[in-house]
Amino acid sequence: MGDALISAMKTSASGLEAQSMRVRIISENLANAQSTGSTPGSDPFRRKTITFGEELDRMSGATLVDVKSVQTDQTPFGLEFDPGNPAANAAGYVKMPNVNLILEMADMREANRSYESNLQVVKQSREMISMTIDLLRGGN
Amino acid sequence: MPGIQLMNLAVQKADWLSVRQSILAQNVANANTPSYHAKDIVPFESFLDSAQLTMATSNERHINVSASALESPQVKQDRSGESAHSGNNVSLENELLKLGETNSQFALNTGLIKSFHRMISASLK
Repeated sequence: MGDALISAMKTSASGLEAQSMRVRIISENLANAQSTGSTPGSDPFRRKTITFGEELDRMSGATLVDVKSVQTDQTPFGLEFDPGNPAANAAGYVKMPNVNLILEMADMREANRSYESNLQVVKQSREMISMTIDLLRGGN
Repeated sequence: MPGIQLMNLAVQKADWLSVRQSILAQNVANANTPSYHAKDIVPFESFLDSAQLTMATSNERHINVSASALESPQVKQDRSGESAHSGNNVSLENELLKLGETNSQFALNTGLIKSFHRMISASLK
């Protein structure tokens, strides 16, 4: 019985880890929202995306969640007219990163919510374990 | 002894509740996993029904053992509910609601074990 509760906590811990990795990717995207290339006509920063997948922990039999892949978003870059920029091509246009700030913020909110939920599960599982341990602390 | 039976039932319930907790934890952890379907376990009543099996005896000298060591409860996938574009149908609100329910049932269960224990101790005084 304790085993199931421990594996519940393990699963939630893997969820916490996956969501924090997601926040890391989002912050990379946000930090590089204006990172252009450095040579004329070169590609700027490309937005990263993250995908989760189920994973079986053979030790405990718990189903964990893991980062399956981090890929790059293939949406085309936007062009901005800025002839003075070192990354400007012959026509004076600079390729801007394909990062959408609103999208990243929405994604971050969702990651935050999922993180909180996982944390709540850890708290409750721990509470249940201590309820069981409290049975030993009889006295009455 | 009936006291033992009560304890047995309470232990089974605790077992069922903790398995449920781990299944719900999986749902919450996989809330953003593509093509993941929410899972739940069979209700406690039907879990008990399926557990009350007795071993077949082919000779009268065989000991009739009832299956007290329970198999782990069956897990079923929930295919209903609105599925997101990613093919995931976990609703965090729903899962957290179920988790709260599991938690309070567990509290009730441990409370019951405590009082069973008090009953047994009272008879020994």
